[in-house]
Amino acid sequence: MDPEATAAGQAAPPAQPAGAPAALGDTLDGRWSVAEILSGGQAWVLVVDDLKQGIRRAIKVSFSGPLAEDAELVALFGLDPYPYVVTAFDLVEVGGSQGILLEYVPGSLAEAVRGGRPCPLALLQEICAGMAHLSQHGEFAHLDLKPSNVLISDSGTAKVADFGLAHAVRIRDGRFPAAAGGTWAYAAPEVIRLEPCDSRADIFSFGVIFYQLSTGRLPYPFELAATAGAQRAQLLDYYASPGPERRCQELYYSDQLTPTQLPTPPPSVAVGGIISDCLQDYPGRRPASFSDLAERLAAEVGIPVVSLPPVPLAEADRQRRVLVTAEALIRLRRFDEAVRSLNRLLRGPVDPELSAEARDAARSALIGAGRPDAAAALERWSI
Amino acid sequence: MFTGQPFTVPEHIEPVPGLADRVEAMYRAGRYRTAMDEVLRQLRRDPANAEAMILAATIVYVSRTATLMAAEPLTREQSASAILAPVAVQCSRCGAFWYAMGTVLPIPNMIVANPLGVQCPVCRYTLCKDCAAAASHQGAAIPCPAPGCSGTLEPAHLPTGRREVLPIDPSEIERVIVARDGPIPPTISEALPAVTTYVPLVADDAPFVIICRSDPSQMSDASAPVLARRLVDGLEHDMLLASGAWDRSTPMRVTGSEDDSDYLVIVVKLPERQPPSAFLAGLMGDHLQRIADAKFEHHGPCWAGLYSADVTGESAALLQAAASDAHQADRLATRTRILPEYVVVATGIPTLDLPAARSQFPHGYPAYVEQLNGSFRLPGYGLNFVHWISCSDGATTQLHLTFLPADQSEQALLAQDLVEPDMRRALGL
Repeated sequence: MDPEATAAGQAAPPAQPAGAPAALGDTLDGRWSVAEILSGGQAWVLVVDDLKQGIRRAIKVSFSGPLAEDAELVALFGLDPYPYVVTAFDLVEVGGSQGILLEYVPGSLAEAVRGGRPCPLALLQEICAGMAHLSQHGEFAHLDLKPSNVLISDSGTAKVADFGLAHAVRIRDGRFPAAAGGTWAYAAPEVIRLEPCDSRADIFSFGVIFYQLSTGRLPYPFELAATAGAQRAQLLDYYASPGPERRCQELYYSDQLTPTQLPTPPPSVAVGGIISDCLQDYPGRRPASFSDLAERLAAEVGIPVVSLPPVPLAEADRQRRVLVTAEALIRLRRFDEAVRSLNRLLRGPVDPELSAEARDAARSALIGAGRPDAAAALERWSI
Repeated sequence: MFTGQPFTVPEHIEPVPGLADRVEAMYRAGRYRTAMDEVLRQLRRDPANAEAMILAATIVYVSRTATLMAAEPLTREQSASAILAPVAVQCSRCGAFWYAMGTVLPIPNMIVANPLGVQCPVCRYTLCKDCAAAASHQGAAIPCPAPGCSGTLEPAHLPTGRREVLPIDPSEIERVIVARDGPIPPTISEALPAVTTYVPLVADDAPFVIICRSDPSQMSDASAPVLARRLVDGLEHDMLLASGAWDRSTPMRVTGSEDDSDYLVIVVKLPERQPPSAFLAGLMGDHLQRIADAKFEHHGPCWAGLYSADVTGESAALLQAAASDAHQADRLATRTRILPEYVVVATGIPTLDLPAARSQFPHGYPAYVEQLNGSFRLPGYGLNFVHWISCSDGATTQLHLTFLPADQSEQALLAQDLVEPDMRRALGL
């Protein structure tokens, strides 16, 4: 059984990088030397060294093509850089495709879980801080929170990564967006059922991780099937049964009930109480946000809340990110969002190196949005 | 009259026939958006309607999970509607607001689990959860911070209203001007939330909204009032607002949504109404009779409504005021009003001389009609366009009428005498 089997395949390094978008030793964009090639569930990850500054970075190239990259880029660049979220820097061309240039973080929580190594519980608060940061500009759901998407830096800091399935919790076409997949072992019932979901689906996933870190096991009374499709069917059946409700009771009353829905009881009543709340079937019974969850972890389990301010960006870097995001929104045909974003950029002084590109992008976005008159007016304004 | 004051459930509730049944059916089907639209429309017409307010409070209180899963979730614009301000609970410190069930269920000794804020039962001073956490020392009870109040803050469940909402009767609004910080003006769907969050209008009221361009960086404390004045004066100059508009204007700076920039919203009240002139009403009646006698081929319900007492009465009043303005200013003056199905525009021109009258429209009369229509987002919204023009030298008055029916299968009428002869020929009139 692979707990990290996803709808799109299994997370494992390839035997050989067949089909990889670059070869070892290639130099990308005249700057990035490919040092290692990895394959995840949904993307290639190229570990690259910066020939100019000697810094190691990662470039993620989606299996699903550039639009998937764009969607993830929009999510990542919509956030201010933060110590507990992996940082995206730019788009890089990789063999005719595009990749996202990311902060390189060498380890992950998955390695600790696989190796059975004890993890410092402070990591849980760092995950909460990272996840809370995702909603800094409006609610955002990650929807693939799992140990391999929690990277661990050399200094031992947890950083939330991989926004390939993430979405803003905002009405689109009249409804809230539904989940598009996920890693079923960590997914909330509404994600498995591909129903509309919000950040409380991530709270559920956090509960699974918390249980796994506390006990070394997944919180199911059975072994998960080997493939993603079979796992989903298995979990759909499970969430249609009384088992999950009983599981929450066993977690909550771990000192009184013998576990039948869990491989092993949680290490303490306090831990069991929090995991029980996170794993509630009905999202309204889960902690409302990662900030609330962080406070409970501090008050009930004694893990202090971590809180750091976002990393400030130089104005030119901020403007570059806005422009790159807007261009991605245009490619995604989300023209109205691109127009708003570019309007914000153009309302103040724009870095001279970006000015012409920003105006061109704004005109493209306006034409895409069916506003040629506004595009023409902008042309006059630009002059 | 919409006051925005906190709602209290009256002893007697006058039901609106069928409203509760329709809304309940939609609510049960998870069609919160349509249900709320219906209730907001009702409250827009009748802000004091207690039944509609209770229904609105019930819908807006729907849980986060039910909203998430609903076939038609409530939109953020609906939840933030100024019309719901009477049932909102607002933090006295940071201005965040929410809705509490106590607004419509005033149960004595009600226990509120996990409250979103705390409130003084004496004066309703309210703090949201975050402000309360900052004010409380290790979870201790918070004495009411309001000066002179001896209360203690308890879980909040009574409405406070929202202090930033403009208490105005929608029927007293002439137009609402919207500008957005930055070089790209908003679309109407972007502009409307900035309006309806602070002004008791609904999405159907888009014809009230005039979107204007704003040069970048004009939204600072110092420059926004200057921009507001410039926009109002410009629209008055373009004859889209009645004279003296600035004195009737309330500018508001509004923070845009998280991916948008800030807005300037200017609400312009209608000028003081004048009683309809019996003389002008008589002239209008004669004019309409001549049109009726001409037996146009395609008269239908839109034309029929033009003859109604509501439309003719309002037209006569506006025309009287426009003629008076024109006489005083010795130049063209216009007044406008949006009625439920008719946009009524009245223009006074202080001359009987037709060439002189035509010259009052710098780009020609058809262009003025087009500009007016564009400003009201016509054709659309099921609105008919009526333009009465009074040409008068003080002793004699001559009327002209342009009518563009909402139903374009009905015949339109253009005041041809106001069109330059060569343009008439070009238009094939």
